[in-house]
Amino acid sequence: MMDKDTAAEMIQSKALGCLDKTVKKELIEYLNLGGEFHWKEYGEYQNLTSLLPIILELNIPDAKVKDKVAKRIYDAIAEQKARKALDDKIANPIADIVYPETNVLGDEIIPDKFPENELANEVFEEMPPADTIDSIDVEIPLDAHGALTNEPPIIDTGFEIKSPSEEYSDTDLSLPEPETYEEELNTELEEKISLPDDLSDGKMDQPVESTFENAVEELAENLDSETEPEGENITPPEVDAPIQSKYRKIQEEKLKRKPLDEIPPEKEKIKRKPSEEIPLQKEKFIETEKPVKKSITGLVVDIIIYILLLAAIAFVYLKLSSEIDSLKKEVNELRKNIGGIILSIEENIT
Amino acid sequence: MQTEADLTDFELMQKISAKDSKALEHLYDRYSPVLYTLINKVVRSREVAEEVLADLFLIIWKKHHMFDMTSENVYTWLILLARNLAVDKKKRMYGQHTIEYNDDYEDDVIIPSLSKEIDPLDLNTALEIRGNMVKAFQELTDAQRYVISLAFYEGLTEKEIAERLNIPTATVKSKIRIASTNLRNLLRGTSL
Repeated sequence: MMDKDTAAEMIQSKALGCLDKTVKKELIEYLNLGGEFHWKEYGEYQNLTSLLPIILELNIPDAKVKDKVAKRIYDAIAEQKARKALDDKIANPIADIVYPETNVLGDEIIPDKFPENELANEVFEEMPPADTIDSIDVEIPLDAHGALTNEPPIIDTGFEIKSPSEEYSDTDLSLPEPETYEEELNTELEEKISLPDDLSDGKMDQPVESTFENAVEELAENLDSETEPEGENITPPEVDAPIQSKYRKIQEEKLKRKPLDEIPPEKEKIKRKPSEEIPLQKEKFIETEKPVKKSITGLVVDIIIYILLLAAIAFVYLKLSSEIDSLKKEVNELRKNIGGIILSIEENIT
Repeated sequence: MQTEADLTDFELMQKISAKDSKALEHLYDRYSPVLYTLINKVVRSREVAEEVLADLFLIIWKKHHMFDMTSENVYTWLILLARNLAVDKKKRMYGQHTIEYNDDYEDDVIIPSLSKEIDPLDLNTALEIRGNMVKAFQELTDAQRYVISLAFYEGLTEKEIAERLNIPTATVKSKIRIASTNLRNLLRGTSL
């Protein structure tokens, strides 16, 4: 057990804060038991110790430290208020609390819950249908012969990707109205998209699918109506004489049984090598001008739809990402202000 | 008209107790140089010192109720608080402290308990007697100054100082006692 003199000898060391853990524990036990201690002297040595740093050459901390302190104090105040509000709520639960529709409590936004589909539907509903667009500026990649190439089409949509502002302030946190984006998109589409002259004369009145189907049907009809070259121009391969005579007999018998007109086209066709068939079909295809035009129209419409879809997807993506960013910032802001908001809700309720 | 800048340390502390954040700002403006210098001396890192200084003012804000208003000695409370926090930070940086830092630890170890019979002291008074303090400290022997520095700035205990200097613990206790007594005697006649 520590005595009065031992405790007195510890005054300087205790004031300097260099007592060993065990000794310190013993001293505390001694003091707790009401042991005598020179408090006045201890106070003097505490003051003496505190004067040690005053002899150092003083340095001023960076200004950012003050901001850091302010932020921590602000956070601490908000946290304290929120905790107090929560404690009050636990102590006096109110059953019929009606929270505002906005997510003022700063709940984390879960991507699955975000109404992406609804928003996308909204945007697409507002988009003009493909058959009503009367001016689209599309450059169709054609080679020297006027045929379509595999290069992707170059489209001047005139869209400027406007990234959200880098700098935010408390007053800049309001979200833009969704309608604003839709209207902007529609007006930009109307202004920037224009059809080539040959496609803007009401040729796109037909729906895309029907145009394409008609073109295919007409092409098939034309192909069926084409007559194959006559058999006499084709020289049969040379074979042995007995076999050749036998073959001729069979052929003659067959011809006697059915006239040439009655023979179905499939059986009348002469088998050709694939390399020979393709140029023939090409010739037929080029000869039929109307279906070709229609099929090109169909392709153009397909490309336009594809472009519009891409533009719409890009627009929706940009819109969603910017809104998510804004909402994140708002959530962070709300988190900061959660204490004050909860208190204000409480006040409103009461 | 009296502004907050004209208030004494104790009056500022009273306002802080009433959750006046402006008072805390004034306290920061007033004390941050001396506290930052002290912390920097202990941790020997500008970045860490800034971090500790920010932590320190958060503790002041949150644990102001642990300041004994009857003592009216804000200066000593703040200096000892800053020293304890910096030493703790330093020991944690070097893995010498493994004990969890929580509210209880902060209350028991970090936040100082001033003597119930301590005289009031504020920053202005401390700055006024700075010259006397420098003179008195320079009159101590090298060994005495070194022992005091090891104890206060390095945060070593008597046993650790003895191990560092390879001398008996009793000798360390004796040197600390003599050095402190001499320093006090040399400062007699000031406001202490």
